[in-house]
Amino acid sequence: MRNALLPRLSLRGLYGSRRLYLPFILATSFMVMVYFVIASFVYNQSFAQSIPNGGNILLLMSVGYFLMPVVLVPFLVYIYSYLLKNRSRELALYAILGLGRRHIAVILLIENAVCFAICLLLGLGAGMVFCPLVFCGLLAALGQPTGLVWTFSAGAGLGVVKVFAVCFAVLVVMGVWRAAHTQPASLLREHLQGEKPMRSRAVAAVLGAGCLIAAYFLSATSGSSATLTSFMLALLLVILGTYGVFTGVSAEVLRRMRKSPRFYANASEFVVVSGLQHRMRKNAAGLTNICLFGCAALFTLCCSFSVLFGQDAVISRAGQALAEGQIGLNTAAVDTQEISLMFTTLAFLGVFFVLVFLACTALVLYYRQLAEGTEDAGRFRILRAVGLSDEMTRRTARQQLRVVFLLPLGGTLLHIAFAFPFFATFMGLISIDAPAVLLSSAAAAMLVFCVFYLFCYKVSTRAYLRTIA
Amino acid sequence: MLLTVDGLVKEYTTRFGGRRVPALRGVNFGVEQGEFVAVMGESGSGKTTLLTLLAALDRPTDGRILLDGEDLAAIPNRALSAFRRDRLGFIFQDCNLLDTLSLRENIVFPLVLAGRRREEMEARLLPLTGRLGITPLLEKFPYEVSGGERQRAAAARALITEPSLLLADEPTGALDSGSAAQLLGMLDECNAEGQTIVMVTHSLDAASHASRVLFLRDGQIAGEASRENLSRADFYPRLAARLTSLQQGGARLA
Repeated sequence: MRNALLPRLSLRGLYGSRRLYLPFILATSFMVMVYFVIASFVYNQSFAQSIPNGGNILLLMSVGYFLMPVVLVPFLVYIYSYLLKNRSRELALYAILGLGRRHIAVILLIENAVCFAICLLLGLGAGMVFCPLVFCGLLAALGQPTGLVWTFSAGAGLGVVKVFAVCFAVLVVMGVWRAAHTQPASLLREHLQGEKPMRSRAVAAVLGAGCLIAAYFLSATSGSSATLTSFMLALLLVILGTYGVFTGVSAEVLRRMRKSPRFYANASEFVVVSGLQHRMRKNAAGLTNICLFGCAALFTLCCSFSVLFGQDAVISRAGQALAEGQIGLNTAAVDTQEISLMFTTLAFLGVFFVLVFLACTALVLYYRQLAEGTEDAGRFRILRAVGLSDEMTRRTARQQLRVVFLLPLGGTLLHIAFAFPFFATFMGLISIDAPAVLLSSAAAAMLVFCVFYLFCYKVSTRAYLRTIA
Repeated sequence: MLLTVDGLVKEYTTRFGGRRVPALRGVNFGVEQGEFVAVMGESGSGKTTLLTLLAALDRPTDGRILLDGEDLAAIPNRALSAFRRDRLGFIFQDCNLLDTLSLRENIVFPLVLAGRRREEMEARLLPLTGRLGITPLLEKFPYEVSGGERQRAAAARALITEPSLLLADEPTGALDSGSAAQLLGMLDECNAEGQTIVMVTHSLDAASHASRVLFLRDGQIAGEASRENLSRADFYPRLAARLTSLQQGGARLA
C-alpha cells in the first residue's frame, strides 16, 4: 500500500500547488526548448559546414550550449526554494502523520521526476516543432534550398536530458536536505517566517564590486585582441559581481536608510525599506537572474541592430574592393553575395536569440513578481488591518516594485555600456567597425530593451497587485 | 454613550448557490465611556463578525453602529482606514505583527501612518513599553521573542494612538496562562486609566476581568451580566453559572 501511497501523495501535492508549479513547469519547459534548439545546432555539424560562415554560427551556439546550464541552475534553484517554502506546511504534516524522512525524500523525488518528465515532454515537443521552423526559415532567408533537411539528432536530445537531469537532481538534493534538517514543528511555521534581516554585507559588496571592476577593466583593455576566453572570463566575473553587488550594496543602502530619521517620516518608505531588507538575499538572486538575462538580450539586440544597420556599408565596401582588385576583407576573395548571405544568417540568428533572451527575461521577471505577491499578501493584509488605506497599499506596492525593477535595468544598461569594447571587437570580426553604426545600434538596442522592460513591468505589476489585493 | 450598536444584522452569501447565512440577527447594546465589556460566545456565535463590523472592516447588512455619535456607515471608504487608525485600537488573537519590522517599528507604525513627528513617537513609546515590560526587546524582531511578548507588543501598537475604543479579539487565545494573566492585568490597568475596551472571547477567565459581559448566541445577545462591586473571584462563578444556564436553556429550546 505504501508503494501506491507515496506517488499519490506526490501527485496530490503537485496538483494542490498547481498555481505555483504551473509557471515553474512552463518556464522550465521553455528552457528545455531553447536548450534543445541550441543543442541541435551544435550537434548538426553538417548544417554548419554547408552554409557560409557556419563555423562562426557553430561557435556562437557552442557558447550558448555551455553557458546556459550555468544560468539554468541558479534560476531553477531560486524558483524551487520558493516552492519548497510554500509547501513546508504540507511536508511537515506528512512528518507529523508518521511519514519518515526517507518517505518524504521519496515523495520529493517522485515529484521532481514527474516535473522533469513533463518539462522534457513539453520542451522537447515544442523544440521538435520549433527547430525545423528555425532551420527552414534560416535556409529560406539564405535563399539556399540545398536540400538540407533538419533531422532529429539523438545527441542533442541526450545532451538536453543530461543537463536537465542534473538540474533536477540538484533540486531533489536541496529538498531532501531541507526536509532532513528541519523539525516538523518549525516546518509548520516556516511559511510565516521570512529571512533574518541581513546584517551589513560589506564583504559581498566589496568582492562584487571588485569582480565588476575587473570585468569592466578586461573589457576596456581588450581592444582588438579580445578573445573568447577573455570574454568568458569577463562574463563569469560579471555574474559573480552582479550577485555580490546586488546583495551587498543593496543591503548596505537599506541598512542606512533604515537608520536615518527620514525612515520614520514616510509611511510607505517605512514599509518598502523594511520589506526589501527582509528578503534582500533572495531578492538579490532574483534580481541577478533578471539582470543577466537582460544583459544577454540586450547584447544580442545590439549585435543584431549593428548587423542590420551596418551590412549595406560592408557589402558595398567589399564590392568596391573587389572591383578595384584589392584583397578582400578578412579573408581573401569573398564575393559580395556570400557576404550578404552571411549577414542574413547572422541577422536571423540574432533575431532568434533576442526573442529567446527577451522571453527569458520576461518570464523570470513575471514569475518573480507572482512569487513575491503571494509572499507579500499576508503582510499587506496586516498593514490594511492596522490602518494602511487601499490607495496607500497600492502606492507602497508600486514603490517597492519600482525600486526592485530599476535595479536590474540599471545594472543591465551599465554592464552593456562597459561591454561596448567587446561588442565593437566582435562586430569588427565581421567588418562592422564604423563607430557611428556601433553607437547608434547600441542606443537603439537600449531604447528597445527599455521599452520592452517597462512593458513587462506594467504587466507584472498588475499581476502583483492582483495577488496582494 | 461611547458606542451604540443598534439592530445590527449581518448576512453572508455563500459563494455558490447564493444561499444567505445569517451571522448576526439584530444585535443591540451600548458601551459607556470607560467601560470594559466582554462579549462571550462559542465559536460560530457571531462574535468575530461583530468585531469585524465594529472595526469597520466590513459593512453591516442592516442596523447601525455609532461611535461618539458618528455613524460608521456614513464614513466614506477612503476615510475609513484613517478612522480605524486614529480612533480604534486592535489586539488580534494572532498578534498580526509584521515580521519585517522590529518591535519598535511595529509599535510606532500607526503613528508613522498618521505622519506624526519622531519625538512624539518616542515620547509615547517608552512609557507604554515600560508599563508592558518590553522596553529591552524593542530592537528585536517578532520571531525572536515569545508569544506573550509578541502579544504585548501588539497591545502597545493598539494603545499608542490613544484610541477612543480598544477592540480585542480573543487576545489570550494563543498565550500560556502566565502571559494571559499578564495581558489581562494590563488591560485592567488601561481600563482603570479610562480606556474603553470591547473584548471578544470564549474564555471565562478573560471575561471575568470585564465590568460587563454580553453573551452572544446564534447571532443574538442571549444575556448579560454586570460585575458591579464583585471581586473577580466572585464574578467568575456567577459568570460560569450564567453561562451554564444559558447553554442549557438554549439546549431545551432547540
